[in-house]
Amino acid sequence: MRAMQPYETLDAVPAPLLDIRDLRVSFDTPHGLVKAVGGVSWSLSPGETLGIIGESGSGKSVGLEAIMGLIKSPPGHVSGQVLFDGRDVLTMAERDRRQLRGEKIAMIFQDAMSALNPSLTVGTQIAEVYRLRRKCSQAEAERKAIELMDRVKIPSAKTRVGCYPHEFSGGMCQRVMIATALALNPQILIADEPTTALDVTVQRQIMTLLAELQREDGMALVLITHDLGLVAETVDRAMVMYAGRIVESGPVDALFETPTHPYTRGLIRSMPRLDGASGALHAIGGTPPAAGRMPRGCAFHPRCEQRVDRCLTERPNLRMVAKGQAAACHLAEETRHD
Amino acid sequence: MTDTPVFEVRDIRKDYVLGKPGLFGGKLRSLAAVRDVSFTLRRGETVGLVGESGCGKSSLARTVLRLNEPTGGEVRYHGRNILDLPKAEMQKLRRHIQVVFQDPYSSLDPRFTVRRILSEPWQVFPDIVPPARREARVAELLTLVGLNPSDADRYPHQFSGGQRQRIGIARALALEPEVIVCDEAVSALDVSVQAQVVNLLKDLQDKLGLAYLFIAHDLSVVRHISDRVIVMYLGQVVEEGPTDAVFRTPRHPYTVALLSAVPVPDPKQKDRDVIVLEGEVPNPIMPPSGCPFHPRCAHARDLCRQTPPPVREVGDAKVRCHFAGELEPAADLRHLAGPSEPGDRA
Repeated sequence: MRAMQPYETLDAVPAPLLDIRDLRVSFDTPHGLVKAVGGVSWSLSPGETLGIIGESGSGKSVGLEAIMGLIKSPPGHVSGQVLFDGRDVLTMAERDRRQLRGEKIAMIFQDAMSALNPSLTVGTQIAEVYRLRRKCSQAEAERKAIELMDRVKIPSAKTRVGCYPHEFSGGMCQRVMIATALALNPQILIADEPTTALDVTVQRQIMTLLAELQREDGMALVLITHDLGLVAETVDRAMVMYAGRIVESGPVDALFETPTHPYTRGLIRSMPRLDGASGALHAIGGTPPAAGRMPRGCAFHPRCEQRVDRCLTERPNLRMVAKGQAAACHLAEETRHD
Repeated sequence: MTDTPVFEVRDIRKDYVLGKPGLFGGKLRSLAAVRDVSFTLRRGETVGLVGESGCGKSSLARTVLRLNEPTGGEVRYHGRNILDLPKAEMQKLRRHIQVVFQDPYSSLDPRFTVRRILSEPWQVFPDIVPPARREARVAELLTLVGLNPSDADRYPHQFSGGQRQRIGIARALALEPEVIVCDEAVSALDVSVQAQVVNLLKDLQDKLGLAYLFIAHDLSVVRHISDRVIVMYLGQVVEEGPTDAVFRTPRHPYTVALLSAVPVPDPKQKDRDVIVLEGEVPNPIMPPSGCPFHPRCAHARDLCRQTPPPVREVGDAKVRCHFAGELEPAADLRHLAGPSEPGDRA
């Protein structure tokens, strides 16, 4: 029940669209059970943009895959609740879950080039879900594919609908994937590092497109990224993950203005600045713990400069430190305004 | 920093020939990946090289290392053109010019211990460290890059990405080079670890007087580490100058667009006007007429469509644009100007 308390205080928004309660994911491995996500609770309102920040291995992607029902069991174990419109995604029949995916929640990934099937035309792939779900004709599906390609601003959609993924650039492939995700007008789009593999000007195009689509459809967006700049510019609210748990969450302005968890502060200070104002970068020492070798107490303590004895033995819970902002640090209140 | 140029690249050019002429003869098609690029590296200096995929930055790196034979131009090491050197001579010279690659997972042999990885260069260059000293030197190198001497007996898979990149740097240092080409050396690392490696590279430069050619697509990192910066587009240098000058007052419309597009980790700036470049980088096999950037440039006029622009000197920078110094940037660039210190209250 430990994780229930922060959940209730964290998100006071009425009737969330997606409501995650104490989500845990672990995997059987030859070295025993390894925890990837340990007790994560959050919610998403209709039309909201939520950012999930974390480095490799922080559990940010695994958590979302669990929500989409993409974790195979065995070896995976998923527990907790994932409530979409009040129904638990984790306990529903696979048929219903399938219905939900695509129709209500869609997902796009980092590497669009490899997520697409190289042997099918982009038109076929964009309209595939639509054709199967809406049971329409080939011609109708192609019309739909062209319409979607227009929406994601792929030039000359009519002639390019018959092209194969290898004929498209990385940015165009990402547009194809977005078109595929939009086919059934989902209410939530989960974007897992959607622009990490792209150049900065192409990244800007894709993020502008996502913002436009969101404005038009009122779709909620979950953006998973390690890029603090992208988070600052795109989302309303963000969560910072470390070693499978949320260490801080809050409105994005507050997170950057008064970052409270030492890890959040460290991340912000370790980024070189475009205006040249950074001296020596304030790197966080050490490396994130490997899954299966979690430190006792606070998982961040081996890298934390302000740790006290308590951090070595007792894991801090996520608790409110300001309006809408929560942090999991024993010293949150004391260090906030130092 | 002294003023001896350690490494000079003059009008280097690399063309790739595409396929054979067709059945009916026809012209041989070629792709100019690097077109007449010049720069100078001094002792203790870092030249940053930025540009997007396909702009020729990796081709340039391979060419100046002579991993690809250039089509034209000169690469001078202490005044001596290394492109004329016979293979054996070139081989000897390689110890002075080392490289650190992007992917620390695939550039280290998984079957070798760290000791063997670091000692292997001495098989080729036995004079650098006498055999009796090697054991001690491995320990020194590990300490230098922030690892433990006891790590010498471990294998690459036992290290994290950041630690592996430190091993890659130690290996480059084993030959006591003067120049290190860092080809996206920190790009694959997580933010917190990236900062450690960037700081390490700077420390090593201060200690050893290394010159870096630092290739990266992350503009903030390049801003942080470079003394001078080169911006490439479609195989050409479009802007070059002292880092501060280029980042504070970019002159080429492409540099302006590139810097405008970088997401800034400060929510207060999210409403600034950003240039969203239309379209994509053109196919280098058929580059546009005139200025290669004109199809995407908001300022393009007839002159730009017809005539390739000359390099103009504006302040300390060199800019390849007909209207360099005359254009008002079409973007809100306040994120380049001044510190507003987000998150620095702590």
